[in-house]
Amino acid sequence: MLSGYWTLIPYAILFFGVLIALFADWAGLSSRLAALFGAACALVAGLGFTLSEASQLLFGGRFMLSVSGRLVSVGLCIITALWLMWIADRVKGRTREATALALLSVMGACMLVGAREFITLLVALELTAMPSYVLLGYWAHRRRSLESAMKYFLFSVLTTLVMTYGVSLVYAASGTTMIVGADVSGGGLIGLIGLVMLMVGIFAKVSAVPFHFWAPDAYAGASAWGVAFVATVPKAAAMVTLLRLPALMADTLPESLITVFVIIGIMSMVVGSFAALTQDTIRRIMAYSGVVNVGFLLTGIAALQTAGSFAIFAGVLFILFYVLAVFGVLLVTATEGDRVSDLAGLSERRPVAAWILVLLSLSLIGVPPLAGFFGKLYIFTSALTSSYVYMVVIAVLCSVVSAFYYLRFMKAAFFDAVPSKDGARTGEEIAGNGAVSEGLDEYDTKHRLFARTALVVATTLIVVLGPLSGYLIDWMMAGI
Amino acid sequence: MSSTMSYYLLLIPLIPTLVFAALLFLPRDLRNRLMYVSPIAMGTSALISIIAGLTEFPGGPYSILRLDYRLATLGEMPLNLTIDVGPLSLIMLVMVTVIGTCVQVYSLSYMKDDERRGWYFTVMSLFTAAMLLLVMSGDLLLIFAMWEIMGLCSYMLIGFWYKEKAPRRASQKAFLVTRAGDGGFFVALAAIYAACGTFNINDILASAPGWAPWVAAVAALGLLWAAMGKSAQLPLSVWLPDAMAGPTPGSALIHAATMVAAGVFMVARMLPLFELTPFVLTITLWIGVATALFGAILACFQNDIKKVLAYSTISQLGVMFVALGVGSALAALFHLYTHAFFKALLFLGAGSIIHATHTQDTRKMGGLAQKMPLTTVCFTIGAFALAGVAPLTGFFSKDEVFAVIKYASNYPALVLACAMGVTTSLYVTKMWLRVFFGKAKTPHVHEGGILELAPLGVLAAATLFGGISTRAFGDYIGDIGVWPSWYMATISTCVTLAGATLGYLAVRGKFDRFKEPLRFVGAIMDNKLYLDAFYDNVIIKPYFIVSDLLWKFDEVVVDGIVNGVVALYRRLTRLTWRFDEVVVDGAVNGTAAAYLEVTEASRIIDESIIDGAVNSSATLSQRFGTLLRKAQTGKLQTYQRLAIGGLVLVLVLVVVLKGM
Repeated sequence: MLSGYWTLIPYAILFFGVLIALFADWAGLSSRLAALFGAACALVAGLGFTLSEASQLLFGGRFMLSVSGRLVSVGLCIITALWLMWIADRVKGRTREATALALLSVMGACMLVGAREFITLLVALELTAMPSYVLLGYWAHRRRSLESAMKYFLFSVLTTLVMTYGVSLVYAASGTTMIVGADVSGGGLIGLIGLVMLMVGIFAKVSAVPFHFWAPDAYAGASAWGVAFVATVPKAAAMVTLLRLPALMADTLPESLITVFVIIGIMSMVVGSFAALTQDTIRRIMAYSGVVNVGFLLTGIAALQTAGSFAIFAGVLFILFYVLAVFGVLLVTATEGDRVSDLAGLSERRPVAAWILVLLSLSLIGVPPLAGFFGKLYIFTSALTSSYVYMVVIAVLCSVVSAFYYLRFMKAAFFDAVPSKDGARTGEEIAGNGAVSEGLDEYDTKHRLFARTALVVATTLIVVLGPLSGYLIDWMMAGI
Repeated sequence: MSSTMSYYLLLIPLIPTLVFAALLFLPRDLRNRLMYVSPIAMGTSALISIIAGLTEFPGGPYSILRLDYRLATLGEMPLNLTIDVGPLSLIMLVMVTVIGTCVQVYSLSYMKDDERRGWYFTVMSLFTAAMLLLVMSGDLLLIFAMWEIMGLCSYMLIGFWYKEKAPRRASQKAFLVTRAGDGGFFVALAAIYAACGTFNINDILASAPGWAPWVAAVAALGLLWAAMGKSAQLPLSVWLPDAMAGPTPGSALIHAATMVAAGVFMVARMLPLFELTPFVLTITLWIGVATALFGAILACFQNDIKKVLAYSTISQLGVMFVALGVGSALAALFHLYTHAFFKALLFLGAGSIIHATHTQDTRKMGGLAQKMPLTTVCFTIGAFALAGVAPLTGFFSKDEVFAVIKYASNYPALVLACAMGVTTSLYVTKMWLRVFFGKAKTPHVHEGGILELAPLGVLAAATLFGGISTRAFGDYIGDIGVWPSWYMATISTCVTLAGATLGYLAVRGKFDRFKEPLRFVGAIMDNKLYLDAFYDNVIIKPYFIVSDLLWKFDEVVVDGIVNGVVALYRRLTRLTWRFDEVVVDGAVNGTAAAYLEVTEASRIIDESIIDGAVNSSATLSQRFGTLLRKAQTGKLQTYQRLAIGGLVLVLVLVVVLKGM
């Protein structure tokens, strides 16, 4: 009977990495070694997730790592490992705690994708989110960084409160905290209100309109490397939750909630794609790009009832391909500066980085044969099976709009004039946005091996995984 | 008795609620300009209530409207919100809406220069709406919900001038003390739900005789404690005098028709539950007696006109509790009814007087009878009703209370009630003589405008002629109304005259020579019977001492944790202070900002279309993007507000969808 619990070994490995990083001081490990060790742990854990046995219900049905959950866990472990490799080389100063925090967060994320009960879900969601607050405000002496962490934290606290309250109402209405079979229809209006409040907590975590306000500000103020983690791993886990909750509740999901998904999805797509147009800051643009992509995901969620498990697999692949590209873009631009214009001349300074940026941006736009194209293809295909075809139309239109700002990255990197050596920007320019590229002193160029490997691996995955995604879907289909 | 359901009665609380909802989301300037909507809406509600009241004449013990709304199903048990309107509710509706209208019309003039007057009317609307739904509700859960909304509204009204220290403190005190009372409500609700699994008042009262005696006692005691908090009975009376820090018409509403009336009304509704355990009734009686006497005596020692009225409210509420304590809901409700009118009249009159003389100290007033004849007449009617002069309403209702005490053969209580009557008459006379007669001490005194005088006139008329309804009132609510007996009327008139004589002598300074030997009495009175000091020394200081000890203890064990708690405590205190400013007003401003953004959006879209710039969709996209960027203000509060606003919108959407 206990055999199923072997699935939990990877979590233990991740936690081991956390402990090593936390006590690295005693062990005499430098920050760099601790991070690299953490990366190794994450990789091993990811490997463990691929090896684990067929899915079983654990803890009395409260937890089960389904096949799609395993794929997500593997993906998130890989991203974490790449991230740790990057910061091991590039970030100056103490990063041991960052290593521990990231591993804790990814541990929570991998639990989150397996949670089948509301309390477990809440705990896992908070375990994922808590380290993110710290990562955003990691350099406590930097005001903007602290500000962004506080904004994220206080906003999250509010929405988590709403969510917890929602869970209590759902419990009141259905008499169970299990996600499967939480039938609120008997509870009258209370159950429905509870479900909406519950979803609001997740909407806020994935930054869906109108709960997205924190994201641009939080991302803009924090260090790029912190954002590269927060905007990918916890975000992906929350997006998967957004997908899984309605899927698990499929039989008992009230019809009106689907309408809420549709409306929020459309708003996210429209607001996200248009709001990003006038932004100059790379991280703000990526924040809005996240908003748009949640909208895309919601088109797939609206199709859950017609497309069945294909919708889930499509959604999972979409999420993974999306966050991988975001991860790459944020890290490759991290050492350049805050603004799009800082990328000018990138093709001359770092030609490889510039081409990586091109590939990742194209993937985000959705150009075949890159992974991003396949992600969108699957999710829109599954959405077409539903009666929400108009959402797909809106999604495609918004894709076109959002293509514009990804193209700006490429234009800046290849065609914009390099600013003169001495004078950088004019005072007016600096005053204009207030976003002077501060924080570049955080980065180190002494070591390059692992950082470069991380970026190259991420890009390779983006290029290779697209055409291979058919096999991934087959693998998941077989594993049901 | 009407055979069809009278759904139009739902309009009565709905109209002010809608006004509240509409004003809440408007920007401050617009809200200030639209403040007239609020009294007009209240007037409409009053009209509907009066018509409904007249159609049901002569009344009786039956229901006109019963509605169950299933909120949820907990396990197998349905959780319902019930509306149950009978003649008793109708008469309360008439009282609340008429007084509400008078107070709001009066406020139009009184508050006209305040920069947040729109917000004032918004709160008033919600406050009155909550009271209206409370008297209409047929279950304790709905009563409790409205009870809490009124607590919040009174907090906001008392602390309306939140920039000054006294209102802020007073509002916190009121909120915390009434919250302390609400603890009892929780206990009672839990006991009742455990005993019979429903909150429906009729079902509770029907099943209560079958409960274990101690359960009924716990429930009744809990409800009593809650009512004591709301209706400012000893020892939870401390918040009411401080609550004078709010705008005077707001006090009129709190003291007359809404907040404090809720406690008495709730106990009157639940009185059969109290009668199951005689000792709870006895407690109610003696708390009432003590409060009535205490309030009256304290009122004698006050010089501030609003403080006198505040203590008189405490005292009169005590009288209602006495009536409840001897088991007469009718007497309590009738006194509640008449008191609401004349106390609103007195407060509004006091407001005019304060406006005219720019002081609240009765010693600095004088000779107003010549300068403000109309106000004087109205105020005099109110004051005489309070003293119990025939044939004003106060005489009839007080007489009824005396009669039921006598009927219960509780002579000690009767004697003390008579003492209260003498004292009441004493302080009323003292105040009346000081304010209106003697030498004029303040220059440039003149009558208020028509907006102030008209409500005074209406309330004065109700106080003057309301006495003839004495019997009809009882019959209407399904009890047996009686005229006062000659015997009791004689006693009570003697009591009033005795008090008036003493009051006259006091003003003439005949008692000055007792001042020196009895100074300790004055000291006690000046310190409000040391109640505040009692709380300070027995609850607050030991609390801090214990925290201090714990802190010292913890400092050794875990440094920092308690520090955090202390910091959090301070932060919380500050948050409470700023609740009004940041959350409520902020939410409003936030919505306003969003509203402006929408307006801006439609303007931009309009312009674009009219300019024929549609062909340049790229420009439009850019503009839209800029617009969205504007919403990104960088202020966390704005984001939180917008998020909560989004949540509310989604909830409304879902509810509407479900309804379809």
